[in-house]
Amino acid sequence: MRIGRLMQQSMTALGRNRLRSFLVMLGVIVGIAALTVVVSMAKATSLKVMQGVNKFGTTAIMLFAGGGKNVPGADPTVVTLTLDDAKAVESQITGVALICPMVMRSGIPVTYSEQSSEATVQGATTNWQEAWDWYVLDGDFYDEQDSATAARVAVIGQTVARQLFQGANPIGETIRIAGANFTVKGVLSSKGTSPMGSDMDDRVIVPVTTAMRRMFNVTTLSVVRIRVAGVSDVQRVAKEIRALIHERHRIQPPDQDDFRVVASDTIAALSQAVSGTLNKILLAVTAVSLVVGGIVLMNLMLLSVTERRHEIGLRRALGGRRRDILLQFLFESLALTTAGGVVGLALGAAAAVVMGSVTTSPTVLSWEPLAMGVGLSVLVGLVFGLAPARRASRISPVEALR
Amino acid sequence: MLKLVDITKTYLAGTVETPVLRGVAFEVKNGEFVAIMGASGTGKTTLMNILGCLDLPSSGDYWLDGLEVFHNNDDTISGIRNQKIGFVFQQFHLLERGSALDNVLLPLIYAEKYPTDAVQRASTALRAVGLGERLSYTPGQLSGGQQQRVAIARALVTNPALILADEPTGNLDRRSGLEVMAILQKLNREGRTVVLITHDRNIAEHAHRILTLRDGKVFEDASPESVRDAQAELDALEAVTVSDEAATMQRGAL
Repeated sequence: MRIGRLMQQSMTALGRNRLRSFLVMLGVIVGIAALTVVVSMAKATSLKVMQGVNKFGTTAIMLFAGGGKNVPGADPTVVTLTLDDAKAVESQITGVALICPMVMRSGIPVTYSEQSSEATVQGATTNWQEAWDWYVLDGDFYDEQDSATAARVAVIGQTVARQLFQGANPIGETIRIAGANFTVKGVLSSKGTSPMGSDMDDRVIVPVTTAMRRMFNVTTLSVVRIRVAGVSDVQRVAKEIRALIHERHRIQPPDQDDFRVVASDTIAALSQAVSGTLNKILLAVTAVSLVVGGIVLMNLMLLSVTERRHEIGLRRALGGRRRDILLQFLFESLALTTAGGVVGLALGAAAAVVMGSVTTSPTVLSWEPLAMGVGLSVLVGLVFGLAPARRASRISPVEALR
Repeated sequence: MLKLVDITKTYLAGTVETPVLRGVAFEVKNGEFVAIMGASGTGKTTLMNILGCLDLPSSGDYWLDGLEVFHNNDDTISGIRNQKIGFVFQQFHLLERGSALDNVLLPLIYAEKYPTDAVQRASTALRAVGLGERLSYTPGQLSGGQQQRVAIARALVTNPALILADEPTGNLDRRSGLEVMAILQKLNREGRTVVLITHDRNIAEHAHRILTLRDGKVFEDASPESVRDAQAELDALEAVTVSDEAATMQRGAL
């Protein structure tokens, strides 16, 4: 194949000027390496977001007391979300599978003999497990009887269990929550950290009646957790809840909301907003470095064409067609950028692995940067190699051999 | 074999027209060894570019090996250069980092069909110019005369109809120049058509026929009184050197 022979000529020519070849590659290496790192980081972020959404529950909606966008959870000073609101959500909106009204306070001291811990106390109805898709590992959840009598019983999270009992069996033991005695009925399975980065295992769950009447002396709720029948219902139900609570709380447009509805898609949007901006900036930097690499390539190739006038003239005299010269120089550019891209990918992957293990920003290696890297380096070679190749092909043998 | 009909070439410098060739016409028959002579500025180089299909004339026709050259597109003319013409340049024009073999293979790369025995053909061509032992040498490792012989091998490898040598001895010492001329004469004796372009009458006299250019036209078309034999000249040169050396040695012995 003539093409094959021309490629071979390109390779030989590159081998003849290794330093220049390397300099040309450098720009592409840096660009593609940066790209690989950025994509690996972005990939990790989106994976984290997905995990976050899964942890939150893909069919879950939370109705928090208190407006404002910056408060991550419920605002304990807002006392307008009532049990009747929760019941209205359940009875008036179609597609709601269950509701779990809760009273929630964090930083509550919990002690057992000499050991102490701080926990987030949730007073919740007995369907808490279904609402969170989170079940007890040991013992039992409290039942309707406990709820009806506002019994002093609790289900504790793994962190609380570990800190108070240090491996001993907590079931049936008595712990003190905010100074009152509670019997431990069950221990929850581990859930790890929340999408917002806080420990989810520092929970103590008690019957909602106990929390309202005996512990916090309140008549209003902190949050209502709602589950809908299917993922496709989430957005609609969330919208209808907003409308319903606006109506029930008589909130007109200029007034600030005294509640907040968070759905799984909100969680995703929130997580992505933070990392998305950073990734966009990094991607822009990558794009710029690739363009700079391309311009370096173009300039060095143009220089090379000028330097190699005699060679080009000779090749034309010996029967090389314009197209043959064009292809030879285009192959040179392509070979350089592709090789640069492969080296960049390897360096970027290595950097991503190191970054993932050394810093807090996680990285995930995947095929996307591979495909993008190879594709982009070929593109850079083609786009920025074309002008020098065309110039080379237009050199007249008479001028060049002079 | 080769026929030029009323070839003119006029260069445009801005609006000023400079006619360089003003109607060159001659024929070269198969197997001839023709020298084209002329002082600088007589259009020698321009004629060489046209004969080599490297440049287009302003008017006129050029027949080469039964083909009218200039009524074709650039790709076809490139193909004609590849198949029909073997170039030998004053500056050798070898690829510096390629071996002798790589350099000789170069025209075959652009051939319509790459011969399966390309390497063998290139080695044969190098043997024909006495460089059979130096296939892997780069130009930097070869003397000027040897480099020009690589260039001749490169001109031979496609088995062209015409060998076109432009001042092939211009960059060489007398002995290497004679070696190159001896090879060209040998190739001509074997039946090849050779056109040699030179300003040097001593070199031109190795050809059977000398065309002299003056003012852009063929001024004279004649055979030299006696054709020089490069091999004989080389032998004579050898004898002088040997006797010189012998004399030196004798002096040293005394």
